[in-house]
Amino acid sequence: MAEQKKKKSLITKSQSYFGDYLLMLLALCVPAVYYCGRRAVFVLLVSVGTSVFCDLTGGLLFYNKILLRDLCAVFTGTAIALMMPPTVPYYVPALASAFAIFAVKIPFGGSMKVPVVPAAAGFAFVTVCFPGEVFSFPVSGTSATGQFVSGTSLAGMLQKSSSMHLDPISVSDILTGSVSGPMGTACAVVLLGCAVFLLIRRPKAFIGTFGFVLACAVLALLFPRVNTGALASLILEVCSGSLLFAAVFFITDPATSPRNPVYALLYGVYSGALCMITRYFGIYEESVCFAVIIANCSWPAVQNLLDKISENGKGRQKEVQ
Amino acid sequence: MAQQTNVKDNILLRGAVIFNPVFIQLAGICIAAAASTDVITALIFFIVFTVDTVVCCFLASLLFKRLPRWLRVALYLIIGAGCIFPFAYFAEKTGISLNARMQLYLPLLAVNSVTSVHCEQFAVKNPVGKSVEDAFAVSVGFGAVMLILGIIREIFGNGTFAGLDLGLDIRLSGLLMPFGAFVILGYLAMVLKWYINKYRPEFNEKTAVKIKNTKVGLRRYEDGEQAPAAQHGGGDESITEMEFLFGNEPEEFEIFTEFWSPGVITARDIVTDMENLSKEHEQFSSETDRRVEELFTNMDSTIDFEAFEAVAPEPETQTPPQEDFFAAGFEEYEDDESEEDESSSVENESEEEGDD
Repeated sequence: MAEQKKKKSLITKSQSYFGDYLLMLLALCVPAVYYCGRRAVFVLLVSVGTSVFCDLTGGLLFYNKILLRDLCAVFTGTAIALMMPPTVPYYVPALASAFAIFAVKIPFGGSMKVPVVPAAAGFAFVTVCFPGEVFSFPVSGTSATGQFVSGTSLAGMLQKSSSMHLDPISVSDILTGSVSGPMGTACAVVLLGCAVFLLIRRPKAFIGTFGFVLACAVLALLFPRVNTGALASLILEVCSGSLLFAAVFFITDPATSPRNPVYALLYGVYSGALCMITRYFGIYEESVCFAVIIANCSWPAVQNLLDKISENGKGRQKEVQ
Repeated sequence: MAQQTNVKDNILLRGAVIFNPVFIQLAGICIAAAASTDVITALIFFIVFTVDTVVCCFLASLLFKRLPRWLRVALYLIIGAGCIFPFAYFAEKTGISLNARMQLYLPLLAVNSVTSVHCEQFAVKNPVGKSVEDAFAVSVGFGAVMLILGIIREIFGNGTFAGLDLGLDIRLSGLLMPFGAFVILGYLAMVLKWYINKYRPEFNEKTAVKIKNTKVGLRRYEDGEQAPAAQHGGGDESITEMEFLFGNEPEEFEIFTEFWSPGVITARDIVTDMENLSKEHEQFSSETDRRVEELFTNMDSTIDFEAFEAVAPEPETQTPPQEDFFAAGFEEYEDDESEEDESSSVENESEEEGDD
């Protein structure tokens, strides 16, 4: 009975988490469809469909169960699609979703036992396999004719250390997502709304998001990649690529993020620092997924180290007393 | 039992599959991941590795038994170099083009850990024939992993097979990187573990350890209480139900219920019984799953077990006397680790109280 209750509570917990996340992703789908047209809908359908199909077949093959109830597959498919450019060939999000489910979720026993965020792993896989397709962003607003015009994303410009001023790019365009970039992760206003929703619904999870963005912001101010001032660096770094998206959706993943609020904050800061380091020294213009994966894998060791340090500190305090 | 003995004695099966050097011993994993990008490379590595290992083990078994260990290890490296460099020279002279990976990793085979480990652990302690057989088995295991990796990575990563273009439009270039090899290695290790658990449970280290320490529960039913044996058509109250638990994690537990008369029970009997049961009942897996679920959902209320160590075949293990089987108090099954945890937590609490 206890085991059954535990299983049920795990499913309910993941349903609750991913239900909230799906609501937020739904909000992000609106600007994606608005800016990219029906192509965004097709990419979303392919990605979610593949993810659900893989989850269904994998669950039946390996566990003789239907694992769809935890909603993780739908979340993973949607998140992967929103991180893609609208011009991406359909097989790329399909492969990313299949990898996320078959290589990460299924082998490790479900959404609450994964060592890394499945969506991040899937996106990282296709980034390595198809960098040209994943990072070819069209100019915003060219989807109406169905002929996309190739553009350069903010993250791409930052990687080339372009001396960008905020004036020609327009902060309002950056905030509303009317810039070249991934379909669903460029609209900073909606992402900030998602962060507020997260703060209200899950304040403990929001701590990690706060730590992540804080670390990225501090590093962006300290080590700007543009020569036009610290403020420009801050806005461009935080709003470019999928940084805010990862802060809201990946850093707060229930399986990989720590529950203790202090550790959650430290985990966010650690992941943020890794994100900026991979941005500065990585070969891809968007490497937040790699940072998330590295943070997921290395965090248990970091937490052990922190535990030992705190235990030593307590021991010394006792000795002094 | 005869089949069991054959498997135990089958060095080829043990060396190549059960104790595969890459999956079980994690030796040579670097070369396997980095160099197996295509079939031809994998095949060349397989041949060179086989020659190196067989020659090393042959010489180690024939000549090096009385030499000190530090000298033996140095000699393995020299022999390895002696086997590999002539091949490289031959390849250069005959015009066989070695690609960049082969040029980098082929010399590293001379100092690979698989050869040294098997020379030290097996060859110097066994006769020449067995040593050569073991070396060949290990080489086959290593070569099989290299070939499987090479085939998968070349087809899906490069769109070719042995250099021939297959006309695939989608090429997963990430599989050609070491991380792709590690992902495939993970899946292959999963398949190997499934095979061992399913068909050769006696070789599963966890199961084997657990068999020695497993708790065998015995329960005698009170007067008037209907024993499960009666439900199965037995109806004899003197028959005692026994349930055997194997595995280290609750998810891995397998329950094998058999109705045995009390007597001396050895771990070997249990393994044989498990195998017979799995052969007899085609629906055994689903039945096992059902019983596992039933047990763990009702453990707190209905399952009564008497803690009893199964008798392992080792001579030092003492068989509990038969009257102990039916001691008055039946204890609930508890895992060893949980007992240890509880005792340690009690100790910690007492220490803390002392400190306060």
